[in-house]
Amino acid sequence: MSKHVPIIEVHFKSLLEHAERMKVMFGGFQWYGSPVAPGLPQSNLLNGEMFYSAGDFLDTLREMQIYCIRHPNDHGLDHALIYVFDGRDERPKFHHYLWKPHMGATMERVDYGQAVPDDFYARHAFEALMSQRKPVKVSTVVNAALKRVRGDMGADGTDDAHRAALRSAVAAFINTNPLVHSQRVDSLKNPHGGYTMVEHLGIYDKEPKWLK
Amino acid sequence: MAEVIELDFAAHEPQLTHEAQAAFDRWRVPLDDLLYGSRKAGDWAWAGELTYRINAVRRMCRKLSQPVSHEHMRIVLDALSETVPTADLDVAKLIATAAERV
Repeated sequence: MSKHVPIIEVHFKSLLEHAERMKVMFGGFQWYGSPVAPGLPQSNLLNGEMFYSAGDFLDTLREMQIYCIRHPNDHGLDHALIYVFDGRDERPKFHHYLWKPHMGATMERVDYGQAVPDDFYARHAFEALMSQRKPVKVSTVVNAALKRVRGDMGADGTDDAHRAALRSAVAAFINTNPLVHSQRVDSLKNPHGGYTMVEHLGIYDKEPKWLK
Repeated sequence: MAEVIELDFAAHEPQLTHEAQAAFDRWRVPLDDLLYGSRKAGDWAWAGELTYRINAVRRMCRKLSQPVSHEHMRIVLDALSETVPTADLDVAKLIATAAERV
């Protein structure tokens, strides 16, 4: 077991690809203490640990629960984020959970659907990304989002104006949201010398079958 | 509301006889103190390492005939005690060292 390995969000995609290539399941705990400032829940990383089987996962979490029960007032743990990368099936699966000491023998699935942005174009672009099943070209996301915008607004505005706004919304996701993964593909057929494939890693987060 | 997932901690738990369980509980007392001390001192990485070694008992017991007898547990604990400092453990000193490292 590798120790003290924080799972860094920018590595999600490469970890997922590694799991897929090696046909294995592995995951990690991130143990967090009380935030150093209010509103920054992930500001105090205590330790990161990897696990390579459901048994290891349950053992580790259970020991932490026992520790928290024994020291209810000063265990020093605020919450844990749990990531699972499962490449044993045809499709790679990415899971993300939250555990807090009071949850005991349960954990919560981190629900990306609730992270819908307020901005009009960003919201439609986000929903288009989340309803994909695999990586697609940015232009495909933009077109899918445009259909949603048309459904919302009717015939208002030109397609070009909406597309430009949606493109910048998708670009903002690529640059700010660690769960949105993009990859540049070179192609001579494309007038810009290539295109960008984009996906939201949350689309792989399905049933917790890895626990069985 | 986020979806809640029930965890079955007992699913992979090895079966231990009463004596084996008691031996395990006795064996881990100083380690639990050490866990608490090192986390108090801020060394969560070392605490994680110790937890992994405590869980080595579970991993080894899963491979033995169930329920694990006291005799088997003694062999497991003897084997692990070579990697985990349990005898003559100066917890206060170790915690002080951990505090220095952090």
